[in-house]
Formats: sequence, C-alpha cells, structure tokens
Amino acid sequence: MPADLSPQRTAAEEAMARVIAETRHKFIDRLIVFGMELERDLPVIGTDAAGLAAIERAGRTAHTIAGLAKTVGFDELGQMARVLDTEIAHILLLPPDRIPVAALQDALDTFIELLVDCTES
Amino acid sequence: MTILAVDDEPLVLELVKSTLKLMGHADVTLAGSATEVLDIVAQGKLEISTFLLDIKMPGMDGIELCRALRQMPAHRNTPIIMLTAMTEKHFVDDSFLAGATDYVNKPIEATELGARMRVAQMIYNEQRRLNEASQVARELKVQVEARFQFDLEDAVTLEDLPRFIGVQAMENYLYRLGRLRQSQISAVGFQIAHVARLYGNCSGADFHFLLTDVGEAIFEGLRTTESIISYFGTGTFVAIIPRAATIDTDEVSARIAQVIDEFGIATSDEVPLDVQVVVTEPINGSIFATDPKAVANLAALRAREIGLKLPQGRLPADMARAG
Repeated sequence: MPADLSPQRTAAEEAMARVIAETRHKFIDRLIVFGMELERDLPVIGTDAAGLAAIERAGRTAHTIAGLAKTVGFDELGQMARVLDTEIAHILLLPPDRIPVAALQDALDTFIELLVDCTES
Repeated sequence: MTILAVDDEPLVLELVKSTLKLMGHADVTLAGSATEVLDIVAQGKLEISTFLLDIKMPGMDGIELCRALRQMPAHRNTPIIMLTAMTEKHFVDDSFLAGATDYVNKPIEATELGARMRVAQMIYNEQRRLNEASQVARELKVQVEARFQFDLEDAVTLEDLPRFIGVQAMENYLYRLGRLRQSQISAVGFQIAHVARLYGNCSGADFHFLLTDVGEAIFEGLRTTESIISYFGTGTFVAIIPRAATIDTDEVSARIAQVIDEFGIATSDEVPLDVQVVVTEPINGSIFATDPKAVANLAALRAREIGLKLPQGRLPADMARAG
C-alpha cells in the first residue's frame, strides 16, 4: 500500500478549515441577498440623490464582500470587490456631472455575474 | 479579560470570534457599531484587553471610535487593532494618528490575526504590570508622605546619622555634664540658608531627606572632633564639641559645602535643590553656668539670626561662615 504523502493538517488547522467552511456557506447566502440588492439598484444608479445613494450602497456591498470573499475561498470575487470598493470611494468624491454612470453600471453588472457564479459554486 | 471586536458585518464578527477562539481567546465580545462599543465601555462591566475595530462602518467609523477610546483614561494604552479592507495609505496613517496600536488587513488571515493578537496581548500584559507597579509606587509615596508630615519648626528626629541625638536628649546630656565639664564644651550652630523656601518647594519626605543629608554633611564637617549633634527645627542644627577642640569654621563650612555638592540634593522628582549651610563660631559653655542647655539654644538662635539676614540667591563663600 503506497504511503500517504498528502500534508497532514493539525487539529487547529482542521478546526479552522471547519470554521471557514461554515462561514463560506453563510457568506453564499449573503451573496444571494447582495446580488438581488445590486440588481435592484443597478438601473437607479445616476447623478441625482437616489442615484448617488444607490452608488453608496453598492460601495458598501463591495466593501463587505472585499473583506470576506478571499477568506472563504472566493479570490476573484474578493479582488474585484476590492477594486470596486476603491473605485466607488473615488467616484463619490467627484462632482455629480463627472461620475461615469455607464461605466460603473457595466462594472457592477460584471460583478453581479461573478457573484451569481460564486453562489452556484 | 475580553477582546472587544466591532464590525458592521455580522459574518466578519462571527469569523473573528471563531478564529480567536481557536487561538485560545475564549472571551470575545462582539459589537455591531461604534455606538455599541461606547455603550459597553461606559457600562464598565468588562475588563477589555484589546479592541478590534473595523474602519469603515456606517455612522461613527473605526478611526473616530479609536480617537474617542484614546481620550478615556482607562483605555489610553489598551491595544487597539484596526481591521481594514482599505488598502489606501491614508486610512492606515489616520488609524495610527488616532492612536491605533496595529492593524490587520481584511480578508482576515488566521495566522496574521493570531500574530497581531499575541503582540497586542503582550502589550496589554506589560501595560497592566506597569500600571500595577505604578499603583504600588503611588501608594508607597502616600505612605512615605504621611510619615514625613511635619512643620518647618518641628525638631524632627533624624535617624541613622552618626553622633546625632534628639533635642531633648541633648538637653539631658548638657544637664548631666555638671558645671565643671560644662565649661569644657562649646556649641556651634548651623543654619540651612533660605530654609523656608526649600521647605515650601519640597514634599515632607523630600525635606526630611534633605535634613538627613545636611546632618550627614555636618557630621563630616566635624569628623575630626568628638561632637554630639542635634536638629533644632527650622533648618537649625547644633553641635556640642569639646572646648579644647580647635575647629576652623572656614574649613568646616567648606567641607559641609563639598559633601552637599557630592550628594547632589534633589527632590524625588529630580529637581535639584540649592542647599547651603552657614556655620556660627563656637560659643563657650562656661558662660551659662546656671542654665546648661542655654549654650545650645544660643548657638541655635545665632544660627537662625544669621539665616534670617542672608540675602537671596547663592551665598558668597565668606558668608557661609558667620560669627
């Protein structure tokens, strides 16, 4: 019988892996809610008060996802969330007439697609 | 001792709690907002060993919260670790400027969080040890001060000084000398210059230590004679010496000044004290046949009179000796 050459995990590592797996399940549930909220806000995004509030909400969602996605194994989603978080923070500092609404909607659309992929993983 | 973690995202809190628990930190308190943290702290029921603060939170953010905590005396030194998904430098800079001890990047990595927490706990333990030590020091200081509460005029007993006795003991000594031997002694007075000002600038303990140092300096100044010395209060010392002993008050005065310089007398707060002592010429004991203690009292009186007439500031060398 060939020797088992796979690296042995310590009890602490096993426990940590269980915590992460559990968090990952809960995170996926949250992603579904986040995806629905983003989809609802997508057409509202604009330069009026409601549009700016929608951008702010999207930024908060991206920030939350950026803080957790990589930890629970969604590296690509985490990376994109981080970029969006940073970009939206900059966008919110611009005068309303200079906000790239269409580009932001495109980016969020791609983000939602990736988010949905993650929930189906 | 609890670790207080705040984040507006419940999943992050859950992850932090589980991760810390796995690392042996069983006592973790969670809060969903800065306001909640401030409420918990205000209640004062928990002994918080470390704060973990998310930076970006609705309402008061983590940086403002950090600043608010640092303004509380109880948490001036409690480790504060910022949790941040922010990569921009100014968030990190602002955190440290607000008083943060460290920061952990999100997404959270168990090993990184563990390492930061270990450092934070070490800081906390060290801080606690120092606080306890300074508390003990404060209590000791109070005890010492209480022990050394006395008025400037009090003729306190200076212990552990060679050839020193109390005022009452000196009176008894003079009475017991007998008329013949009384005529064979002289009394020399010593006065600390500007003593009231020194007394006013010192704590009771500091002034007591000053008197002890001056007493030792006087003993050193008279080392070659068989003296008996006593402290009469108000910065006045009197030494009884054999009449036959010829003392050069200039030399005695210079030796006292030298010893005081070597001591470098200062307060417990390291504030140097300018201590100078004037010396009277010896007074012959035989002139007070009916009142043996009068010779000592006259020496004290003369020393005090000289002390009162002294100008402000450092004394010229020739004024340290006065007849």
